Amino acid sequence: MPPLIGQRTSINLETRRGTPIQNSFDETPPTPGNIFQCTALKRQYIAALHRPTNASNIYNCHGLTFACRRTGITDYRELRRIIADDTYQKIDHPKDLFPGDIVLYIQQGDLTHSGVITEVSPILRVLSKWGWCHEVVHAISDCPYIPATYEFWRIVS
Amino acid sequence: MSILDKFDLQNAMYAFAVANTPLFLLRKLQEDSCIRDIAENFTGEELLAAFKEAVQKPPEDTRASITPYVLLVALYWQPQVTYLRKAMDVELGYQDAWLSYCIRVLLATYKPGTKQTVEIKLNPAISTTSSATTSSATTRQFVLPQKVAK
Repeated sequence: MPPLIGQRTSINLETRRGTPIQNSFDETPPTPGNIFQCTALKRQYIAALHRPTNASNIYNCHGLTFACRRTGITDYRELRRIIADDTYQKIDHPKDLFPGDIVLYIQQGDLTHSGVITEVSPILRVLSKWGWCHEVVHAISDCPYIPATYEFWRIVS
Repeated sequence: MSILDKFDLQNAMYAFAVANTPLFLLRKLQEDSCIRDIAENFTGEELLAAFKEAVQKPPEDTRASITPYVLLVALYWQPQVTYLRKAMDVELGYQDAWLSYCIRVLLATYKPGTKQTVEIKLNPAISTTSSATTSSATTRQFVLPQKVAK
């Protein structure tokens, strides 16, 4: 069996202002253990829409939200850099949200999760990827991440 | 054969699968009562030896992947930082940036803990339990928790 933790590599990823962003990915195929965890999540979160994507070590939620699914970003400082350099604007009130806006899940300063808003009414729904498992469209709080706070962001231009 | 074989690492494996960041993983492991049990059941020396063995070669399944993290957090719950500090010097047999980062975070946030056994004399007049073998003043032992998860 191949090792679970393979050689990680990275791509040249920059903010709009040209600041390099640390990233890494691993093309090792998912193991039976990864697939088992995905199956367990599908059973646990029955109200969510589990997209037919495989477990993947190539990108995580932040890679989906900020790097077009090409790589993984795990350092919250890099994410803050992207938000600043790409001139995201903060949205203070959830009532002002639109599909396409970004949600960040924040716990003790760490950005534990992120996703793209897909629906705002009747409830907020988010497209995200759960760790190294698969992609899920879920109600904002119906996921393994219980944040202290949410932040909402949008690129206006 | 690992010293962790008899422990249920399901919660740890779940956290590993859904973790987007190493800090999320660490928080989940620090909340895991199973890892507290592991820390209670083994000495720092035993945990460090198991850690050295676990990182010798790349893990081949999810349980093997999470094992070094579990051992590190168990070392974090030890009353002395000595063995956690020694874990920092262990050479990994494979590349795992999260693991190296987690050791640094655990060391930076380590707070010395104490494990004390105290005897408290119970007033028999208000004691809710009684036994034929107890004297008029009953004593009970309580083990105080070492630390609280951050």
